[in-house]
Amino acid sequence: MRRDRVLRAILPLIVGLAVLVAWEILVRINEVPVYVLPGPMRIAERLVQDWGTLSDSLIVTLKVTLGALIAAIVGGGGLAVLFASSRLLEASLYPYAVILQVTPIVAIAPLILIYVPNTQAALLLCAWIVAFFPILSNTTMGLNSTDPNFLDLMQLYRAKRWQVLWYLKLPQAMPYFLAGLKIAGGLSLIGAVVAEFTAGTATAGTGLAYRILESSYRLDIARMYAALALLSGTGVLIFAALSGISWLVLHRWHESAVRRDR
Amino acid sequence: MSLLRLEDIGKRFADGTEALRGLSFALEEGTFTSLLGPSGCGKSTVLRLIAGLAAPSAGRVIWDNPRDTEGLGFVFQEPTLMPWRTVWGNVYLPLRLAGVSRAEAEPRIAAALSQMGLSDFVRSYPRQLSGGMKMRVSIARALVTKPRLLLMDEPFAALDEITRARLNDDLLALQRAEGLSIVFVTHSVYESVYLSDRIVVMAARPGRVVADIEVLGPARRDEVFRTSDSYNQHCRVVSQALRAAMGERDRAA
Repeated sequence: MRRDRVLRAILPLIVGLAVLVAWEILVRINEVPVYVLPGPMRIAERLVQDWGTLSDSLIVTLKVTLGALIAAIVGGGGLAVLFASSRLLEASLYPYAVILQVTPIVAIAPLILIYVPNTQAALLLCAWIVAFFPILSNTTMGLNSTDPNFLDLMQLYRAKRWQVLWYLKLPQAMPYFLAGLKIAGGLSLIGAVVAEFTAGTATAGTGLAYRILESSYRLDIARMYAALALLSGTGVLIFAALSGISWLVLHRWHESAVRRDR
Repeated sequence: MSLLRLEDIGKRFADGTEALRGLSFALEEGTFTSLLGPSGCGKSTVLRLIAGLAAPSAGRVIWDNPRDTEGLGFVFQEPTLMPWRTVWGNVYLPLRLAGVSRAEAEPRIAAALSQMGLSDFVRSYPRQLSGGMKMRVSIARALVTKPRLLLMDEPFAALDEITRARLNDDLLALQRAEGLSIVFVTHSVYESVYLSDRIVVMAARPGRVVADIEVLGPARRDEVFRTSDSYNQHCRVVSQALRAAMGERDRAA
């Protein structure tokens, strides 16, 4: 069991390291110019050199990402609770949530940037549109999939509506919500980056996406890679943090988080 | 003393299925009554009507003391335990919904858990328990409100024979100790004869009472009764009634 876990942790690291080494060697042997493909060493060097600017940009992007994620939790979760308490409301609004979700954010973003005067708010709105749907749809599904026996039990003990929601439906929907949250975490980062790209140089945006755009104009490919690495790292960290939260909430009772001894 | 009467009950579901027709019987206080019959004869529907979880389409459920409807105990076929709550939390649920504080509930929960032999599993989660233990938690939850009437919908159907026999004995001991009235839905002739003071045999399509058999066994049921001639005799009578009930349905079909 333990050996298995260690292997699972080490194998991806070995693969990653091997790819990086091969990349470095190929770039050096073939003397590929830096403005075409820099080697990993060069990218790391650039990351350290530009850490001041890049980390500032990272914080800007992170703010939009986390802001959008929190708004998605509040908006998506809140809307799901409303949907669960009123079928009429769900029937009226759900199709529009779907339309919002299926329309590519790249196509909506320019309009949002025109109508919303504050760039920061516009970026947040774009990222929110991408991130809220998985939370809404998953939580709605969780709230609606209550075992009828439990509902009978609540009726038998004359539970009030809020008690049914608080003691039964919300905990039951928790695994669904958390699965949606994990997807939304990644999507809010994607939404933030897409919005920054669309805002581009026309705004005072200084997020990581803007840095990538700026570096591409200057053919500073190493810096593009450095910013990209930071973005990926951030995405992985967000996913890991949300998985951790999910485990903390579910590990005592939910099958998805319970480790089985075989 | 009578606890409640079902008067000429009919039940038709929204899809037009007639589940019950002209069903009448009274429940005496402190008795163990089994509802026995083939699948689809409306046994569970009768329990749901008594519990107020469904309304009859015709007829009435009349309680001698309407206050008895409060805090009824109901044990479902599945243990129906909230997986995110511990054993303690699951048993606390009915009291919590009634606004009873933790401190006030504590001794009552402890008593219900100890009655069902669960005192060592207070902090366990349902997934850590066997099927029989889960059912014990479900019964403890039904007992914690101190009900006068316990309704049980095939609670032991999914359990193995040994666990089932033990739970049967524990249930009888509990009934004696608390003076509980129990309505018990089952498919099993043997289980119904072992447990009951009275067996109401039902036929299907539409569900109705076809036999009402008093079990004249000893007050204390144990292995001696299970292996006695009286037990076998009762099993034969109930089997015949059940066969007749099913025969009626076959002819109707």
